[in-house]
Amino acid sequence: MTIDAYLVALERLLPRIARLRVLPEVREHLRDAAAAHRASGLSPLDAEVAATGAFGAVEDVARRLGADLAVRESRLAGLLAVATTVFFVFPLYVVPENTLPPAPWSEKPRDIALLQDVALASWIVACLLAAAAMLLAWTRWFRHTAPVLAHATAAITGATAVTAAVAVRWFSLTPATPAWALAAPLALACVVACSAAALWARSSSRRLAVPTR
Amino acid sequence: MTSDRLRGHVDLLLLSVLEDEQAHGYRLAEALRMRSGGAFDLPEGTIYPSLYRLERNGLVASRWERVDGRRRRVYRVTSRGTTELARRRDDWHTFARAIEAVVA
Repeated sequence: MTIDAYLVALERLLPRIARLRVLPEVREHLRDAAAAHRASGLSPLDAEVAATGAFGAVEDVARRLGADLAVRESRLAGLLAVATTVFFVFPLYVVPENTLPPAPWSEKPRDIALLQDVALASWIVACLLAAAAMLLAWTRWFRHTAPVLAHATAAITGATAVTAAVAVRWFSLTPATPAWALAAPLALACVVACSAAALWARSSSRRLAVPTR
Repeated sequence: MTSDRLRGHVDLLLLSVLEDEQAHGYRLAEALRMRSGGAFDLPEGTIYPSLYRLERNGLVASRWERVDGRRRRVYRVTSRGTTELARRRDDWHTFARAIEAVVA
């Protein structure tokens, strides 16, 4: 099998999450091995076949290579999802509920109560999905982590949007609301979001540090 | 020697090579083959899962570097890896002596 054919087969068999780290490294390894075989007198084609043969059966290599990396990435992503959810619940739900001045109504307007119920339900769904993603990542079903994570991310986004709508509606009906009460939770949410994004980007950049040709 | 017989020892072998030199994957496979006199002719792809596991456990670290004009991922043993290597080496010597005492 040539190096290109080997890499194509390996890419097809590897978990998507493991490809970025594995393929560039395997390609460089195979090129080194083929160069050594050429130096010992083999033709370029025979050298590539010898290099891929010495690397191991592609199915076996994919199974061994993919599992460890996928588990590691899945666990990191699962933990991030749970951390993001928990940290967002605090600034976007708990803080406004407990720090705002007394509301000017004896009975909470029906639309706010409804929005709050939707927001709470959204956060519960987001938390459950994030927790499910994290649990999956620590089991032998780790390959199902990615789709659950995608749903968790969508749920977090939806919950944030509904919570923001609650906050805006609440503040508009509470004239005495100090500016910090509006700004603090949103700023905290931004800091947490940026920190999570930076952490994820740092992790991704290390995985994406592929060699230039 | 088959890879089955080496299973469980690859981490120790890799740490031992990396203790002497930083190396990329192919260089490691080559060093294992040469230092064992050709006895450890493993499928070369089998060293990477071990490297990734060692890295995940903080025993080795890696980064892309330009070597001989090409960029390669180079591994080095960490201080924690050096400590772990000493422990595993002691375990191995104890085990080898015990086997030798029974088999010889």
